[in-house]
Amino acid sequence: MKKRAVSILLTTAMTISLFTGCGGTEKTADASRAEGEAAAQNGGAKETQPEGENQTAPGDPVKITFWNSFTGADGDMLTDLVNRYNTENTDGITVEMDISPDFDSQLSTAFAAGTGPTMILSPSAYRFTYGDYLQNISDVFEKTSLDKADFIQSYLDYCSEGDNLYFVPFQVVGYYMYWNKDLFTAAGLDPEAPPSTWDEWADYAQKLTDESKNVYGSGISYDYAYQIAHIMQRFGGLAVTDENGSWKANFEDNDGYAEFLNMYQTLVQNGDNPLEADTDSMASAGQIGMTVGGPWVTAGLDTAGVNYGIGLIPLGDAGDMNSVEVLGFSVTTAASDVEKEAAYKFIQWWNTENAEGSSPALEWSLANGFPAYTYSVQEKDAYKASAKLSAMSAANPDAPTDFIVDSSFPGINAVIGDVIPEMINSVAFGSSSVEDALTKAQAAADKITADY
Amino acid sequence: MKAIIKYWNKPSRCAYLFLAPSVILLMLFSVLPLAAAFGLSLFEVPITMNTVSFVGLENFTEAFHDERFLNSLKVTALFTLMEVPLQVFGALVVASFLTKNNFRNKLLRAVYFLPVICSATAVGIMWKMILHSNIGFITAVLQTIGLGRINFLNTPGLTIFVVSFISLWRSFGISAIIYVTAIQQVSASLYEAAEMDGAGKVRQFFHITAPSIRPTFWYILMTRFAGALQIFDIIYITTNGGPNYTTESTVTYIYSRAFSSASSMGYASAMSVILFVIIMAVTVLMYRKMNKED
Amino acid sequence: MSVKTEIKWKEKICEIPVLIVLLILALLVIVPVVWMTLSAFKPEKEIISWPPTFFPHVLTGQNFVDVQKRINILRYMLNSAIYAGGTTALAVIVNSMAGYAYAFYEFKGKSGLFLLTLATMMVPFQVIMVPLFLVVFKLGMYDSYWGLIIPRVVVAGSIFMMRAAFTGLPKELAEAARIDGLSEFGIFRKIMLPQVKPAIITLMILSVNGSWNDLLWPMIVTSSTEMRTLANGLALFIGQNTIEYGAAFAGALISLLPMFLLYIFGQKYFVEGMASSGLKG
Repeated sequence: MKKRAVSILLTTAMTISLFTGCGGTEKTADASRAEGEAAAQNGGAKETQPEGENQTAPGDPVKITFWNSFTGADGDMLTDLVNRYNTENTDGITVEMDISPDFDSQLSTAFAAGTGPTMILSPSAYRFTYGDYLQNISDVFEKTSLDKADFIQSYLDYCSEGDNLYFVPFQVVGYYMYWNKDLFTAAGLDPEAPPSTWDEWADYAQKLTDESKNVYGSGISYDYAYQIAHIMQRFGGLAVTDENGSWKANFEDNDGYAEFLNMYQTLVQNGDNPLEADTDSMASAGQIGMTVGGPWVTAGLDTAGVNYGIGLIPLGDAGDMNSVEVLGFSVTTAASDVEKEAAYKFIQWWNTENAEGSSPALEWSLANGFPAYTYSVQEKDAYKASAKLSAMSAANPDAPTDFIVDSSFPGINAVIGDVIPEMINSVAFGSSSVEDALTKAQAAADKITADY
Repeated sequence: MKAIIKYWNKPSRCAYLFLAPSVILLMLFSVLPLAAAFGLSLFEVPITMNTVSFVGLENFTEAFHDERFLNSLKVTALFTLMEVPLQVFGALVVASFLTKNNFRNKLLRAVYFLPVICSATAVGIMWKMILHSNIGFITAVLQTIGLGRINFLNTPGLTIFVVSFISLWRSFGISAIIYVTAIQQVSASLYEAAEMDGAGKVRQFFHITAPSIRPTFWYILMTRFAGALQIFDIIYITTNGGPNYTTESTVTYIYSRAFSSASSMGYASAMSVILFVIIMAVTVLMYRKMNKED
Repeated sequence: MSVKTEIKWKEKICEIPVLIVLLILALLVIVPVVWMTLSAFKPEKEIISWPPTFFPHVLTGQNFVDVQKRINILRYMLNSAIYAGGTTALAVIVNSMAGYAYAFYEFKGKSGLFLLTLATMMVPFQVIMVPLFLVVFKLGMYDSYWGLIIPRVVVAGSIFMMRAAFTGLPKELAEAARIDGLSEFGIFRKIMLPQVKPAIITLMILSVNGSWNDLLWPMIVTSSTEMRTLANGLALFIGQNTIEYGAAFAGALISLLPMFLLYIFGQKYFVEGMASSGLKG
């Protein structure tokens, strides 16, 4: 009897809520769309009304919300710049920024309920997950003083789907090689001559490793899929490519990938590369000879006072490449037309020079070491004078900028989040041979490409 | 008015009044979302839930053929088998020595409680730092005293024990203190009577303490059990499932399916339903046993 | 008499290994916490260094200055206090009433309801997060203190804990009060509730602590930065690619201190709780 009561209770609750729950969800989505349209109409109405009276008067105060995931020190700088905009701008615009330690949770719940911020800052790959909630902002170049020709086209391509632009570039994230000059000297290597090929990398790694001092020559983390992907791509090119309109995965029989995995396995077995997830901390502590990482690695190295050099990742058989991720500003469907325009004004301000010839975009690049996405910033003296940035911008400008997969492949998250980690883990911990790992990766990637 | 009060003042009826606020809130904010999430397991649905398509039991079939999901169940079971008994019995033994309110015990209780009030994030990064295979403080100390360099967080087979330890470290204090409060409620006269009979501390523990705090024991056992089978935050911060997925718990995997990579809420829900069924089955068994004892 | 002294003597001997074990446990707990505390006073360079240090070579307060500069500690603490205080105040009333009903009354559907309650703690929060958010949103509680507090009041674990505490009490107490003509609610409030004071204190500490350190819920259910809690603020030092260890540890200490004081304060009441429940005999 008791047992029955339980099961009946549970099932009824479930069925009832299944209906209300799912129906509710759909309704919310619809309702939100309707609300959005209504808001857009209202926005339009608001704009047309004062037209006759006085157009030039500063607009009504507009408050826009701006979400991003810039926790950490660069978020501090972003806060300062947003505050500066709020005091400087004469359009009555207030940007209320919220930095989120769990951006996905915050964004997905808000979008599901049909609400959300005016503007977000995220990797351009977010359009594959949240595309339905991002507005086409290709008119940003008409409505603001921003010049489309000033933006480097390949970065804009990252942010577009066909003719629709979803992001205005904000930062370009490439990965670079960092080497510890003091350790090079100690090992009898020339501190100004980092490896230019992967054979040299393996050779130097052996020379740099000093077990008595706990020092490792090579710092490639088995738990850092982005790092692995940037390196792997140098060996064997892109993991997913566009083959006459359908996606093709390139793991199996990829000699370059096999060579990379063999090299990694050898480095680990010889004790020249630590089996450690967190190699960045080791680099900061001066315990790693050479490593690969994003510009933020310099922050740790600088704080720790490590004497280091920056260069491009050594080339492999796949040839010249300049793999990057692009982060950008985008406007969500929760924004009204008025809010959208205010967001445009903020984006314009970010990329516009002030009287001293500096722009927030330039300041951002200089402080955080991200290469420029506009020609005008690249031409600045301050930019050229930065040793870090010039080392990072040394890549061949014509080299392809795709990162690990064709930049319009929507399944990039699954490739970086699942396929590559599963492959590298099985090789690092010896649970499968290089061939088996690649075969398995191919099967997993085929499943992903079949979905799109 | 009086009649109404009288009507509801009957023990069998007023129970519902006592329960009403909690049941209403529970239905709205727990049962309803839970049922909705269960419903989602039959659909293909992204995290923002704007497009929904019915797929029947497909998500479940997929789960049972998903190596990582099956592996995560194994990892979770191993973790639970290590963590729960140590937590439930270990804390009880420790608590039985801390019941007197003297200075020593108050100090020790405060110390054991410290990790409970630290944020999970802070605890996670702290352990990650001090157990780091290269620059970790504890690793270095153990190396100095000749135990060799132990790679606590990157050794398949070892790391799951380390993670269980960190989880124990973080929460055994609260279990111990809940036991202490329960033991303190046991009537002092029972102990006095036992003492008169010449029963030693050990016998007192088994004949008086243990039976008297049974409800608390069941509470700790069942909540720790449900908690251990859903272990997430400590793993997420310290190892994120590594090395080679040997610490990837079911919820860690569910989380990565819901958000990190190819977001699929339907599949994440289906796996949660399976996990739920497992936890519920064991809980019902324990509940029956508990009711028999009461 | 001699038997008794012999037992006493034996107990004293037994106490030594017990004390050693307790001390080792305390050491296991305290060493990492002290390491973290000391690290909050180290410069970043020293926290990540080889060889690692325990005691700071250079003592600095810079990490605390950084935290203070980056986040509005007082405002965030106030929000955390409102969230934790509001949740706890309601949680004590609602959960102890429910726990009492499960422990003391026999009624139809008891087992079913209790198991349903337990069932709610068996699904990972990440999975029910979006539907839960939709409920809160539809009730118009988004971005308000109500939305923050109300959904977090009922906790299955707390009901269970109060049930356990009440089950330990003798039923005769209620019977005696009933004969004296006390109403059912009167029995609960005047007779039963004071008996489980230590459990209530534990419930309060757990509830305050849970909300104080809660990161996810306040973040998704509020949208304005004025509503952010201390836990949200401190998470800013743990970046996606870099962690500011010094600031993170300093922040952890700032956040830990109020909780620790609350515990010490609460422990004082454990003793008083003991005194009153000792009367019942």
